[in-house]
Order: sequence, then C-alpha cells, then structure tokens
Amino acid sequence: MGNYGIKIGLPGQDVRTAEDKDIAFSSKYNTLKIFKSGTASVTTNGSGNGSVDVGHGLGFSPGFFVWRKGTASWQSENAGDIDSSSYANAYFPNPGCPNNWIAYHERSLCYSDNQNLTIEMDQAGASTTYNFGYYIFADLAEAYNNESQKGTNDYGIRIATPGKNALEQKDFQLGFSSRFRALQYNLVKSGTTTLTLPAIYGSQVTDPSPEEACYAEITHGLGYPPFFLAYFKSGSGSAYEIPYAEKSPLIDLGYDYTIKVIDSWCDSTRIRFSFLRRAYFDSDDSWSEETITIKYLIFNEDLSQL
Amino acid sequence: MANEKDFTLSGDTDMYWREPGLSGWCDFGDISDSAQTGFLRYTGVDIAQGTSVLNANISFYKEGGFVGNDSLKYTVYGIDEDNTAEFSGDPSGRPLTTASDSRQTTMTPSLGTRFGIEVTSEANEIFARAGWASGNAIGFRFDDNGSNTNVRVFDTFDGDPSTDSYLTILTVARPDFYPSATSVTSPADPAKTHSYGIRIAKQGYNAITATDLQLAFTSGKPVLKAKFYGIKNVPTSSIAEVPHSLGYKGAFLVFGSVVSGIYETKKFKFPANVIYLPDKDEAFCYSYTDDDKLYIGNSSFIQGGSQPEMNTYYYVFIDDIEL
Repeated sequence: MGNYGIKIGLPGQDVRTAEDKDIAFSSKYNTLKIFKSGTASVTTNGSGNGSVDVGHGLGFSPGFFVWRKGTASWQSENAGDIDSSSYANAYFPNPGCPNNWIAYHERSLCYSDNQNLTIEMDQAGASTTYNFGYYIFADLAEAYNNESQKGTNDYGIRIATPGKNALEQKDFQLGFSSRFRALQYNLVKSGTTTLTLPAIYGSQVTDPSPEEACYAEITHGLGYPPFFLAYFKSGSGSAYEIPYAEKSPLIDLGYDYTIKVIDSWCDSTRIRFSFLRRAYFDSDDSWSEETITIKYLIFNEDLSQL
Repeated sequence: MANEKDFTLSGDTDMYWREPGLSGWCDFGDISDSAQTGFLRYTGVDIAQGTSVLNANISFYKEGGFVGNDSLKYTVYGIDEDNTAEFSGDPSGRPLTTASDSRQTTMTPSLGTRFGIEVTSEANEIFARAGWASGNAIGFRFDDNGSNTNVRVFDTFDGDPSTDSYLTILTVARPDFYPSATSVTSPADPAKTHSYGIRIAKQGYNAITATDLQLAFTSGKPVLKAKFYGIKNVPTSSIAEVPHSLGYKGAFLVFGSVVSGIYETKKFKFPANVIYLPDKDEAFCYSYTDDDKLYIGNSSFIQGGSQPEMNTYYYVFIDDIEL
C-alpha cells in the first residue's frame, strides 16, 4: 500500500532520503498545537495562598506549559554564592519544582482540567503577586474522545494523522492545523553542554552539610527570552527533563533534605542551567564525582510577548 | 581534582572477614547474635608523612547484608602501622589507632548503594607516624558495636571501583565548592538567502513579510513530532514503562496526576510536586527515558508513605535529544 501524506524537509535536506526525526514536519506524527497563550498573576493572602484560573473551554484537560516571570538571583540553604548578580525579567520553567534561582518555585501548583488552567501558590510569600506566562495546547493530557470536538465550518490547512480523515479528526487528533501555532524549535540555536561536580560527603569533622554547585550559560543571541525545553543525563544513564530534584534516600525516616537540583531559567540574553548537590552527614549522603550532559531545544517563541 | 584522591582495592588480600577467616570479603555487624569484624586496606596512598588531611572517607559499597529500617552500629579504627601488610591472614592482632569513631547507619535503601564511613582522625594519626611514607598502605578495622540480630553489611572484592569500597582523601578543599561557570554561545542563525519553503502566517500577518515569530508554521524549523502518545496508568509503588524502541532518547512530555485526593481530576505537567491528600502530603512526579522506554514514576515525600497510583498522558517525540 502506498505511503501517503506530507513530509517537509528543512533547508538543504532531501526530504525523500532524510530520516523522519531530522525533518521539519511529517503527517505521520502528531505535533503540539498552541491553542492559547498569555499571562496570568496570582496574588497571595496573608498565609501565602492564592490561585488564578485561565479558561480554555476545551472540554478536556489539555497539555500546557507554564513559565514564572521574576528576578533570578542565586539562593542556597548554605548561604553559598555562585553568582552575586540579579537578573530581572527572567523566566523560570515548570513551577512546582525546586529552583535555586527564585524562591517558592516548588510551592506552585499548575494543573489543567476540562475548563481551566489553574496556577496556584501554596504557602508562598504572604500578600505577594507572582507573575506567570502560559501555553495551553490543543492536545490531550488525559483520555478523551468526545464527538462534539470535531471542527466544523472550518478553513485553513488541516493535516490528519495516517489513516484518518482530515475532515473528521478532532483538533487534538490532527497532525497539524493552521488554526494553531506549531511549537517549532530552532535547530541551529539548540545544543548540548555539560556540568561536572566533584565528590562530596558530610563530615562531622569539617562540615556536616557541604554544598557544591556550578552553572552553564548559553548566550542565545536572540534578544528575547525564548521558550526552551531541556533534558539531562548523568554519565551514561537515562535522560530526565530539567528541572530535576532529588531528596535524601532516607526521607521516609524524616530526613527531608533536597540533595540534588538541576534547574534553569532564561532571559533576553541567556539560558542558564545550574547543578547543585548537598550531602548531609546525619543522613549518610555522599556523592561521587558526576558529570551531567544537558540537551536544550530553543523554540520559536518569545516569552516576553505572551 | 588535584586536591582529591581516590584509592581502590587492589586484590582479595585488601579485605578480610575475621570470623570465618576469609580474605576478599569485608563483613561487619551481627550474624545470629555473633559480632562480626571486617578489615579494608588501601595501597599506594600518596600522602606525605605529617600531612593532616581535610577529610578521609570510605565509600562502602553495600553488596550484601541486612536491608530495612534498622541501624548498623559499628566502631572504626585505623591499623596503627607504618605500612600495614596485606590481609592474607587474620590482622586482628595488629595495633589500632587511638582515634576511633563509633557510628551507626540505617540499612536502607536497598543493596547496591553506598554509605560513607569517615576515617579522617584515624588516617591522620597514621600519616603522623614517623615511619609513614607516601605510597604506603593504610588499613582500617570495623567492629560491631551492638547491632541488632543479623544487622550487618558486606562487600567483596570485584576489582571494579563502581562496585568496590573505595577511600577518598581530600587534602585541601572548601567543603562548599563552586567551580567556574561554563559559557556557550549559540551559533547565529544563517542568513536567509532564498525565499522558498512553506510559511503559514498567524492571523493578521502577511506570510511574505512576517518574521519567524509571527508565523504559525515555517518549514525552516522542525516541530516536535509525537510518534507515541496516550494514557498510562502508574500503579501504586511502581514505575510504569512505555516502550518506544526508538533506539535513541527522544524528547518527551508527561502530564497526569494521582488518582485520589484533592487534585485527582487535575492534570499536572511532570516533573511536579503534587499534593494529593487533604493534609497536603506531597508526591514528586517525574519521568525519564532511555533508548527503548519511557518511564513514569513518583516519590512520596511523606514519612513512611508509598508511591501513589497515577493516571498519566505521555508524548514521546521522535526528535532525538542526543543524550
């Protein structure tokens, strides 16, 4: 049976011979389709709690991405300092994870349901306004198959996935729809970097809770803060998305220590990745020398224009 | 690092288990209410005589022994000799340092992990000996100190530093360490010399004159191409696997939440802290990939808590993250 559909190569590629993973687009695959984007703010009460809802009305929980906007400055439990400067108008991905450059990042909760994207601050700073940017995709974050979601009286370009009818598929099923902005990354600007930290362990004699940290800075040259995705692996291991955080292995015995954090932020000049580890003597933490390799994808999205 | 040195075991006679009289095995703790004593030896220790090192630490590899919420209680001594000989026989009669440390370590998590045994005071006493010379061998003894029945740990000689106990000595270092930053400049986008390809403008913009940021799609840049996507249940206390068989690590995204609790109808983007009980206990939800599978799991942050069940939705893209 013939292979039907559309394949779009990048400049300089022969789309007939290039591998699917290297081309710009193929109708064989689904893409992330930006349904809605914008900004939202949360003002907390005297207990540091507050939330905001962004309506989407899709009828299902959609995928999303949230960025927090703020000032980046290095923060550390041990009063360490790898950079004494502050960077205004910085953007921090994935609220809800620890980030060593801005307070209360792990005190955020961002979630979608069938009507809203909600951004919540829980036990954060009291009576404080927190600013966010968001992307809501026309793509699922849950099982869903509602017939009423078919597009009708529509125009533009609709590209179905293999074996499907472009006139019948719902928006979240389409490989592409010109109704939505495609999330595309800049292959030239994307890249890889590494960070290395030496062995560390807590000592009753010298320091029961030592810390080590370093960062890598990518000067992107775009003149605006870009949407980016990043992953890392340690040695030859599996790849995790950044941000990443790890607690002491003895957490179930009450040792609630954050002992490893890999985080990131960006502004109009740079993307910065930092790598921090701690070792606590009383919970037997120790670390060998470790090198992490980071892969970052820089997308065609200006966060300051949300 | 120049101020940090690792020393590994070089053979069976660098380890000894006293009770059965066995080389190649270091075992200490309790077996059936009988105290067990172990020994480790490191050769070629290039620390000058009279040096007072900042820190000496044995990273003990938990190859076997007890696993659970109980403490291994032990006392560590140095073998107070200039150049302690190999452990071809029982070294119990060798003199011990005045310095010793009685400690305990909880025997969890599971085997195949490590715990640290600080031996700074013991090592410095040996380095201070008039007869010590750089390149000599240093030994340590581990006595049980009241561990409960059958709480013990052991390591055997493998000849592989990743699964052997090793000694690390810091001579000069700040406990808090911040290496210099790494700096990378992204390449500049190539100049656009030809106007071909596909450009789809956002509403209100002219596709011919729009900048890249004003386009809904351009054939000049790749989209993330999702080959595998769908729902995945993650049972309690498990890590779910989604086979993708790409043969490399593709980009991925995961959304989902725990199946019960105040946010059970809400979907979070992973990684994320998810509060899932009325008293706001937390689980940290994460995912990772290797060349064949996407893995989805979570860690409970409550004391004694289990990893809660989750409903998730994943995307595995064929775009290679080259890791």
